[in-house]
Amino acid sequence: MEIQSNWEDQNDPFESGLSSIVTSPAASNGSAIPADAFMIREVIGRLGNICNSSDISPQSYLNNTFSIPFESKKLGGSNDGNKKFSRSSTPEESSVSDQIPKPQIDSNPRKRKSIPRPKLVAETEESDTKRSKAETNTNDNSKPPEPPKDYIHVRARRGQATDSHSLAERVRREKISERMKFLQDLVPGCNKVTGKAVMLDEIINYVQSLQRQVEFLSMKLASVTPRMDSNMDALLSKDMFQFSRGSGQPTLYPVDSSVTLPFGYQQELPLYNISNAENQFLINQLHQNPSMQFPPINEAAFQVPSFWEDDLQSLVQMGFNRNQPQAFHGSMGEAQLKIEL
Amino acid sequence: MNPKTYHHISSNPSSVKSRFTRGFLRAFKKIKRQQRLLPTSSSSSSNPSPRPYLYGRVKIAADKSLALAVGSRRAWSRALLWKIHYKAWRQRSRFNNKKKRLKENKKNKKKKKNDDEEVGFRHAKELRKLVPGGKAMDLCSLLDETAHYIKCLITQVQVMKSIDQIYSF
Repeated sequence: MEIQSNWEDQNDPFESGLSSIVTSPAASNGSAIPADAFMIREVIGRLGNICNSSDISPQSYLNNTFSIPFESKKLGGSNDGNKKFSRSSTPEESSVSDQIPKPQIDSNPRKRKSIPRPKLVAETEESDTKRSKAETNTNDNSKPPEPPKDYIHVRARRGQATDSHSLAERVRREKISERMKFLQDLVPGCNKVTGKAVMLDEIINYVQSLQRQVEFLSMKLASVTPRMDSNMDALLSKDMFQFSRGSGQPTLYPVDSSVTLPFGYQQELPLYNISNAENQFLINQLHQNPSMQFPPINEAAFQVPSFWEDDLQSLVQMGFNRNQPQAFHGSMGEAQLKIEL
Repeated sequence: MNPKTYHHISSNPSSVKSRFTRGFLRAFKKIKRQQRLLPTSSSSSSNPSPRPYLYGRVKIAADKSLALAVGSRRAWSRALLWKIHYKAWRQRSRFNNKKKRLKENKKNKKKKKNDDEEVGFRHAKELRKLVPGGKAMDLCSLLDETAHYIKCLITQVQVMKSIDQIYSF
């Protein structure tokens, strides 16, 4: 409770402005108040996580009027990037209503699914006359559309239309291009390509090839001889995790050389390879285990490639969906899935 | 399985990769054990008849463990889990799913049409078909989900390759 009184002392200059703002939304849009309250609490809860302070947790029980000034003060102290919000709020008193800032203004998109679609309120650079109930934004020329509330305060650039529709369009387009850039980094071989259409083509091809690889690998694993015992299981769990730390070496691994892979991206993916040392290690382990039978495994490995090609082609022709119903004949089905969980 | 063997997993033990690895290994071993117990499949001869059946199960186990590793944080993992669950249920009750299509939000539809114009209808449709749950998303979140989906697919492929290598020795 002492914390609460401290906040009240520090935030007296905000209170008068705050009360006017809190009442004005109430006057205009009574039904939105519960939603606003909920959203404010939710956003404050999230920001509390960001600030990593333990005393924000009683926040959710505070009244709206007190929670907002607390937030501005707290963030101004703890995070340097938010200082400009507390500064920018003082000249724009009417937009103090929600000082939820964006902690990072980079290409990391924040998803808030529970928040309804925001409406954009435009404003030119020069005049602050068209101020409606809105939240703060940065003072830069670029727009910051992080929308915790109903209204986004967006600044139009100089010489561009301030129509709310076109602003919304621009915001969306910039979001989309931001994400396309991110995807460009993710998909290999897309740096030279420009233009959304070709990029999307590449992305689609890449996803398709990845999915095909997964199916191919699952087929391969399904055909592995099940001659395992507990030692092999332990080996698998232990060594595989050791190997997985070293993944990222871009050399082809030997088993693939016997099978022609129809995927265009095979070389570009960071293929995983067991180095010679680890190879030796595995073989030593296997030799130590007398119950392991070597010849059948090798046979299977040699027989499998010729079989795969036929099966792969036939499967591709049939379409993979047809195989899945076969997987559930007999007593299989939901019970099996639960076991696999 | 001895949990002590996990202590030298990657630096982030709760990452998607390690979660997926554990889940998939567990499911895969169960499948293999069941396969051993079945009288029809013989391990010495390379009999192709149980293979499509097995392959379907392995693939579903892989997809399911990947979606579980990601959790419900992402729309595509939720959609994938729902699809697997629904298919199993549908298989059991022979229910035709054409009658029950999810009704799309009208607002969402309009937004999608406007968005898709920018990037080309054809591409957007294809992408929606590929990414699980992509039909009911607007373009922004579709691109988001695609990025995360690609990352998870890459880890899935890596893990399955390494498992395959170990098994094929």
